[in-house]
Amino acid sequence: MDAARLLPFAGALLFLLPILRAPASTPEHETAGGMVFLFVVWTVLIGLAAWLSRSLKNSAEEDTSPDESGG
Amino acid sequence: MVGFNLLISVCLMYVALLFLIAFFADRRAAEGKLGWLRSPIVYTLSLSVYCTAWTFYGAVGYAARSGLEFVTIYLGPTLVMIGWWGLVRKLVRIGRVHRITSIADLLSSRYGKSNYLGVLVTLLAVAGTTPYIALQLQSVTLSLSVFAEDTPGGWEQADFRTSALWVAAGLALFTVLFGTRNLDANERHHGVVTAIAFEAIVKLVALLAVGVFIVWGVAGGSAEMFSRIGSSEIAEWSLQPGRWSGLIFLSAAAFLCLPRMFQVLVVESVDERNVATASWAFPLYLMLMSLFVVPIAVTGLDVMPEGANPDLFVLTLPLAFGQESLALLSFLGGFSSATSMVIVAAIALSTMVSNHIVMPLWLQWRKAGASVSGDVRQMVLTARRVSIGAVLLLGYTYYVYSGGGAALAAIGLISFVGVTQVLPAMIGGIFWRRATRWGAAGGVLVGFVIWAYTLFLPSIGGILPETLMQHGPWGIGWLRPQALFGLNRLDPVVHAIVWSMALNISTFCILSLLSFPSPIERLQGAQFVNVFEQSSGPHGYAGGDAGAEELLVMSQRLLGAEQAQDLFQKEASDQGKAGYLPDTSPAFLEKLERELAGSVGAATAHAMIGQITGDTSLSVEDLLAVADETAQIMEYSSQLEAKSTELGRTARQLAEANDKLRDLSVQKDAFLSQISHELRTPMTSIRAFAEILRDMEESDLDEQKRYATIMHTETLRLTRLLDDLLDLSVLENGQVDLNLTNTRLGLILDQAVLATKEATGLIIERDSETEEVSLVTDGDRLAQVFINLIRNTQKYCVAEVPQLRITVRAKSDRVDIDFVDNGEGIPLRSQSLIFEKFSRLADQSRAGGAGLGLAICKEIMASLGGSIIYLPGQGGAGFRVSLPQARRAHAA
Repeated sequence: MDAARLLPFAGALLFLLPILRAPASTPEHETAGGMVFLFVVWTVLIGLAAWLSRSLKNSAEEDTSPDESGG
Repeated sequence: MVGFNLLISVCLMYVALLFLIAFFADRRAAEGKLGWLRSPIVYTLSLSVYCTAWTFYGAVGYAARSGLEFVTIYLGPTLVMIGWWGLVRKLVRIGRVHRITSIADLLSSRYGKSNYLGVLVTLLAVAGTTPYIALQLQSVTLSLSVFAEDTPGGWEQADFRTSALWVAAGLALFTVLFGTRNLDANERHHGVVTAIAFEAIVKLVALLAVGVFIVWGVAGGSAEMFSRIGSSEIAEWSLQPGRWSGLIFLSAAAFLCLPRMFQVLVVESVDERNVATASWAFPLYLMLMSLFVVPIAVTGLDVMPEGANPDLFVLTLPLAFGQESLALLSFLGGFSSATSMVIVAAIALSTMVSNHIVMPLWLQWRKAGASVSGDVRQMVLTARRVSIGAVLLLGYTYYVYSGGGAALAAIGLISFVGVTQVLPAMIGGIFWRRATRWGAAGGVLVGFVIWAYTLFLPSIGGILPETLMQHGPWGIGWLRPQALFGLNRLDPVVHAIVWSMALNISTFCILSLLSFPSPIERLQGAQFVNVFEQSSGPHGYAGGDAGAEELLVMSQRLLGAEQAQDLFQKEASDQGKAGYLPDTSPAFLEKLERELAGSVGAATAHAMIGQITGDTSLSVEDLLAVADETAQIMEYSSQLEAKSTELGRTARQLAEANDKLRDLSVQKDAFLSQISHELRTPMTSIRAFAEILRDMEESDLDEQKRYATIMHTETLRLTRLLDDLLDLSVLENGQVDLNLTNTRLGLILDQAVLATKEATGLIIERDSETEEVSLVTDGDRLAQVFINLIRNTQKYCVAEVPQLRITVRAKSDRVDIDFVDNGEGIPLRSQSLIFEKFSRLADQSRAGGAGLGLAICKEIMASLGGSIIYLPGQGGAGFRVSLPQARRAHAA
């Protein structure tokens, strides 16, 4: 549950990483590499979300009684 | 080349297919066979209305201009969806519990069912969405024009307008047909959602097909593609940190706030669990949608002639390579993107307009209330249909006047920033109970104004004069629209995001803290923030005296006769009543209001019920009254509790008294037989000896003397018995004359012990020192009490060596004289009886008297102002004689 809450923040951090690279530090362009990086991160996030959602879905199904509020 | 007529007929066939799909889905839903209609796949695909024609065509153009930046538009929603557990899940739950019909309804409902807020959000949504609808119309006409290029003379400006008008009209027709078929209490449109899901597949397939063709058909594989990307002019792109992070935030916020996204994400959500699947499936969809964007853009820039519109590469590239059917598919993909967005946006906006603007006006107009004759349902549906038409007309008008020239993506971002102004009020509303309607309205309004001034108006060429843009209003430099407060290095979009959000959030927080939430706001706030904790919260109704019949009449008009009657009948039977008219309890009104809110929105439903119940606003006084009532009830119940305890005590006392009476009655019976026996025995012997004396002729004197002595003794016994009875009677009537003298306790005790001296075997322990107490009392009477007590011990003490201990304790206000023997004592049951007249305990054999001794003692002590009680727990029988101190004090 907490992992599910943290996942978007981890994702945001990873997606914002390219900002920290100084574009001029390397002479050749890195657009293709950047693209690969973003899509790999994206895929990993989707995989994690799928894995988390499966367990959360089960717990949500049992959730007939009220549970903790979303935070 | 695909002929224009062929294109039109393909288009029409596609639209007909959509109609069919929507029709069958609606019919299945009407038959109750939801089945796959509520599957997570359909839900996920319906979310793809996020990907509009802007995405389909514009993303490639965006990539051609700004490289990888286009991807930020997808990263935001990805983050929101993978974080579904914290936010989206809560929104969906709130939407379901409170029957939310739109984002305007969400805010209006949360902030005390305030319709003004609903109107504000509706206007904002219309202003933010209209350019976006225009954008879709533009993209469809642009893509049509691509195919028309070969027709003689190409397209004139008028042709664009005509086709845009036709597209708008067709979409309006579709939306009216499937978006307003019925006034569903849940505001769900299965037909539309299914058609949208189908269009989502078309979009994805079309874009993937073009992408696969470009990478493997044109470039010759992924490796080759990579080297092309590296050498293309796109690679010149460098990342702007401000725009990069700003746009990720913007797209995430817009994903939640766009009216059409709210519609599919929350309102159309059939099953909460679908969100779990969508949390990964929708990001996957977005990723696939953007996978081939860069390759297509790179190839387009390489292949297409200088000056070709990069926004149309998806369409023009296949055409350039002679892939006409692929181009057709691509066209359908773009067409799908545009139509699905327009349809859902029109439904969402029309719901808002009819619920928050038309219905309140109508209610105001018909002061008499919703229970007057006339079909409200038809009225609501008509309002929606007209709203749909108006929304599309507005979009068309915007399209015509904006000239359709601006780059597609630019309008998209401007629209995003506009609708995002709702975000602080929305997030604050569901996580912060203290947020008030003033804060929400203030924040939205300030954000809206900033957005219009810094981004929206400057984007429409010619509205703001050039001098104002350059030097600010009245020459005030720091008020320049794109450099507020001197921040002139920011990109205009980021500039608008930063300032509108900063001022919006601060206004929201400050006004919320400064204002005081109304009672309804408090209730709603608590229910929204704690939606997972409570299935039904406190009620907003203070128990109005509403006519159930009027409510039924009104509900029938809104929900339909059958559904309304079912609802009322069920409630009535739950309340244990027959028929259709339940008591209008606060709980029922609350339930009914939610049911109606599903049709006309929370604020209108609240107002309609309020008109009938006459209970429109819940004031602090009402709440206080409720609280007061509760307090009174609690006090009353505690009083009742006390009373019931007292009653219980009384009942116990009564039961005890009853037991005692029964015992007394038994005793009395026993005594009567005893006393007759007691009186009869001496009488019988007196009579017998008297007869002997009478019949005795000559007998010796000794014999006569003996008989006379026996008769005398028996007479004495009788006399003593009668004396006792008389004594008791006198004492009881308070007629006793006391002979008060100054005496000492020791003397009286000596007298008593001496009087009982004839009895043998009783050892009496005394402490003469403590007995030196002076008393003013009737010494003879007191001695009588002591004698009785000593005689009792002689009679009843069963110990082998009977002992009696007499202890004297002088207390401050009285003197206690305890008589404790070493026998068995008196059983608990009998302790309360021994002082009663005629009482005799089980063992009769030892009894010499008639059981009047202790009763006499009690009466004597009472007349002397003291008391005699049984002293339990002393090992044997114990009696305590108490004399008041006053008597002693006089003596001293």
